[in-house]
Amino acid sequence: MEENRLSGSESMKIIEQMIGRAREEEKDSGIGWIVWGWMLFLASIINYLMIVMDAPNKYIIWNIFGILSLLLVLYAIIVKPFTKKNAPRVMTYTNELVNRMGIAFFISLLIMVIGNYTTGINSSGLNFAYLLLLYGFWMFIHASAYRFNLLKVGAFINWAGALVIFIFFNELGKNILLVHAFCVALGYIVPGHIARKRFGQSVRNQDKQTES
Amino acid sequence: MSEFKDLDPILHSQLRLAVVSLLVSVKEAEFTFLKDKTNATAGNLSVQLQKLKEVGYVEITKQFKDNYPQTLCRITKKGIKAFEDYVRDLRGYLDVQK
Repeated sequence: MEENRLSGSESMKIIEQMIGRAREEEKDSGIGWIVWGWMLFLASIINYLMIVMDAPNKYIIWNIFGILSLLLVLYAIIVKPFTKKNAPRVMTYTNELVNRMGIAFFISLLIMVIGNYTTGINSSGLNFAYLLLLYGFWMFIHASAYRFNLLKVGAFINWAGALVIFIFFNELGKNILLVHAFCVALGYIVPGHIARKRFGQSVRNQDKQTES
Repeated sequence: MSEFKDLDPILHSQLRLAVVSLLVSVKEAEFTFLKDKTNATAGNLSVQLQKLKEVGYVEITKQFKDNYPQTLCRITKKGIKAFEDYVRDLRGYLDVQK
């Protein structure tokens, strides 16, 4: 950038351009939604199939899911920030807020999962309704922060799923797991892959800008 | 250029204005991020950041991360106030021109 004398309109243009470039950093890579979504989806389907087949340890998949989740959270907190490739070169206020909200979400989730076990709610399947409520809450705020409307639709799908479980709880039985899997597939996995595609495109565009 | 006499001369420079506009939008940014976004040379950016630091508009923290030097830049309250004043004065000037 050369140092020229600026006119008023040039100054305003620089300000708008730079604020726009800073906002480009506020985007969702989608990877979190894809990983989390597939994990939840597969766990729900496997659990459903194990119930249908009357397999022993029908719910063991959720223990594996819990261990995997903890490992992923530990990786995100401890390992990822120390790898140079992944270290963010900029921290926007939105990114900071969303990161903190992610921490709050996982703390709430952990307490909810513990509560599900200690109160026995998990054996009824009602826990999935509460989980979908929590997911919807997280997704809606995340989507609003990143202006990602498809994820907002995902939040409404999760809330709708929770409502369906609450209303048709007695009729659904083991099919609660299918409702959960359906909501996760549409609410997490589909928006996640779309976000991933958009993110890849914007990174390629940025690389082109840098090269030129 | 008498019409610009009231504009902050520190901010009324292409690169310094670009840097402050970026920093006002984020919490903190690495030197390399500012360099990429402004398309400036490392040398020129260093000089302009130093000027912004001298007047108290930005804070610069130098540290090592995984054996790599890292320069973090952050706008100060004084810098935010100066930027707000600059934009207000600039808008006033542009309104007069209309």
